Amino acid sequence: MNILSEIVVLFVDDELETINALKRFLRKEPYTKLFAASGAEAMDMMQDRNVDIIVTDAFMPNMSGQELIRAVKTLHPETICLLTSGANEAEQIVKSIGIDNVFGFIKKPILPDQFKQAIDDAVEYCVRNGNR
Amino acid sequence: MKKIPNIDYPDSFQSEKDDGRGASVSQMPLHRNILDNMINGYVCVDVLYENGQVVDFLFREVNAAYQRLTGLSDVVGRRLTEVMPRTVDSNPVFFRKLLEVAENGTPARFESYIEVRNTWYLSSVFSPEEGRLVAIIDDITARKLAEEKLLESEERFRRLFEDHSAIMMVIDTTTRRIVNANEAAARFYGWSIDELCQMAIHQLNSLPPEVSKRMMEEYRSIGKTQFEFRHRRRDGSIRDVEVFSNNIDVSDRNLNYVIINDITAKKLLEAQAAIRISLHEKADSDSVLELLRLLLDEIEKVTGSSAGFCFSVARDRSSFQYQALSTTATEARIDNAFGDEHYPLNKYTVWAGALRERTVAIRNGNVSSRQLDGKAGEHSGLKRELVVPIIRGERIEAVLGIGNKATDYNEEDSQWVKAVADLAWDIIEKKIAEDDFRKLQEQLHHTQKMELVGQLASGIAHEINNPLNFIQINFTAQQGYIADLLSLFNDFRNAVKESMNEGRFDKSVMQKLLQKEVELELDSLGDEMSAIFVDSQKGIDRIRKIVEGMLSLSYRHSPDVPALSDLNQAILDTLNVARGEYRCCADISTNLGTLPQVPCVIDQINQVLLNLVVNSAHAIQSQQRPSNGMISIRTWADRRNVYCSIADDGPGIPEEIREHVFNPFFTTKKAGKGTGLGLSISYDIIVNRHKGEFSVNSPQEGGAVFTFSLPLGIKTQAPEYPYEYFI
Repeated sequence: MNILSEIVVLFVDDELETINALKRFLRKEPYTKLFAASGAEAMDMMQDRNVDIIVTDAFMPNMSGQELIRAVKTLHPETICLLTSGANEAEQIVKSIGIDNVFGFIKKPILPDQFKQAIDDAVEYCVRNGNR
Repeated sequence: MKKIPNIDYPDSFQSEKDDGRGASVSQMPLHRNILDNMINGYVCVDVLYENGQVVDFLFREVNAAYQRLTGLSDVVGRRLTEVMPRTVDSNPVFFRKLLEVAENGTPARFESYIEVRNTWYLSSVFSPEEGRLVAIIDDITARKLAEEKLLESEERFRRLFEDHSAIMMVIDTTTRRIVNANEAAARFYGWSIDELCQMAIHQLNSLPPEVSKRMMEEYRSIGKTQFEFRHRRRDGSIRDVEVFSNNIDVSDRNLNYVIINDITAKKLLEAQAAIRISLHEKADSDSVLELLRLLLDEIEKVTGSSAGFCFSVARDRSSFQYQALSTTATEARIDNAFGDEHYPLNKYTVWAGALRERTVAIRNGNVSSRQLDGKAGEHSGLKRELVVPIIRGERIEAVLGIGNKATDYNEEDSQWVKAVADLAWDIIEKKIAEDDFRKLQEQLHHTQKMELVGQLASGIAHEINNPLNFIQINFTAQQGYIADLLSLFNDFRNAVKESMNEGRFDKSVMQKLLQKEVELELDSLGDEMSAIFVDSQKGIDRIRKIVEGMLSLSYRHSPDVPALSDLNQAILDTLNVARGEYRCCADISTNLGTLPQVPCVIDQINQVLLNLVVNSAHAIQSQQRPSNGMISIRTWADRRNVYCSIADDGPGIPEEIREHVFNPFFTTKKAGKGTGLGLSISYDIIVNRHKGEFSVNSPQEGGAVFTFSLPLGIKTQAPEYPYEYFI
């Protein structure tokens, strides 16, 4: 079994269409993919199982991506967090969460290859740092 | 004057001579009667000689009337010098006259004033025979006094006419020629009395002769004796005059006695008041340009000018900016000369003078100074100019001028134009300020709209971004699917080719193909490929809706003219565009009733709806609550209005600030988060521009409800856009 398949990546987006698109796009990626439609659902899932990497949209109802990352970092400090947002002020958002808490910021609309690369980097980081 | 009949006295009259008293009486009863009853005094005297010279007279006979008229009694038998010694002394002429008649025998008639009696007598004296005089006398005192009075009054009236300060003339009604004119008339008109008397009255009138004649005839036929004309003087200047005219018949000649009153000053004041009133009346409806033109037209008319212009002065006082021309000047295309450029001040020296001296400047004809010559009028072809600077405080705001009067501009013109321009400028200045205010208001509206657009922009970007994002991801995924499909397809083709070439069917190849099918999850791959199209279509639809909403919100209808519009559609458009603002914090519930089309400026209504929806969203957002709030939009209508309420379950508006929310710049947001214009401008749009109602309240259960109405029947008033001006 490839060690990469043990890496769990959780994608959080309130748009069902986005989740579906990601599922299709990443279907061949070796890591394990989980999907949640809201911050709350993501937090629930993380109670049940380990998540190495979380990729969340910033702009969501009820619980924003930033809030989710803050919550995740409190409960699971080891989790690597990536944020996607259409907003221009990446720096500001990242600062608001804490520069150490955000592994990467991906601007929307995403460029698929870059997006994939960003996740690969995170996965590699996990592997290298022996998260597994 | 009645002549005393020449009475033929018979011989027997000299009864004394033959002393035949008794006999003669019986012969002349009729004569005696005449003498006694006549109203004239009769006296008969004998002439007394001394050395052949007449020295005195002896009373021989008088009648009763004589005694009554003279007050003398018992005169018969006495000498004249004895009877009236004082008269003989004081009135030697009287005595000499008697002597003359006595000496020459020539009858005489003379008037004499007898001082002791204070009486005028008319005496007819003749000598019926040598040595005897008869006089018939009459008391003419009353007539004399009347004559004297008449003379006196004639003189008085002559002097009254000639010396009076009022302008008076006598005109022949038939020929219209001036028969007489007084000194005041000569002074006023500039012609001498003699010259005036060579002229006809219509030569003074500024109207054509036949017109003035017809008017006079009309006036006379209705018994009018007082009229107003404009008279032209020798120097060409025109004066308003009030004419008092009366017809008098003098020895078969019908004359017109006129008194002329120069009412130019009064007329100017009246004109000034009239201009002010008409400007006031037009101030609401007319533009600054139209008001200026009206003012210039009036000033032009009153001063007899044929050009009028108004230029504003640049703040740096270095140039003029064309603002308005009078109608005549426009028609004469003087504007060709003016254009709409800035004029360097040094070029127009009359105007420069007006600015430098800060007072009225006049140029009549060419100015001798070489510097001014020609150049001054070059710009407009004006022969004469009067230029008034309009000063407010320290600043000269504008220059108003007139030109091409037929005669020279004078002090009266200058004072009047200055006064009128000053008065009028107060009104025009106010209008300019109002326009500025309106312009500012328009700018504020626009600014707020831009603020909204800016605010919405990031939300809209998000709303487009999300579908774009998943379309993009799907697009890439689809490429992967197709690549897989193609590779499988190629494998199939190769397998088929190989089978054909070899003429046999290799089972292991088939198994590999089937295995690849399984690996590629061919069944779900097909489903996913179809699903990608479905999802992408959804994404495209969402983007289209937003773009459509934006387009309809940003569409500029013809300048704010109200048009029948669908409020419900406007709400749907607004919700599409504002989705980015509320999506993350609020759900929307709509209850849109069936509405008639409502006359409104839909751009403005969209601005109101956006403001309200965005405000509600922000209010809910400010609570940072764990779950979405609710924005409820409802529309309904009655016979008069359509209504729209937008309610949210946000924090509501505390009562103490509720009355302030429609004030401009009132905001509870942090600095930089809002200008506080949204609600005040929404209020302005609904209440002032659409004559609707706008209210806010916070129900007990919480949140805020904004309700507005738009009247169906009232034609909304399009705001006037200020005309171009350059103050």
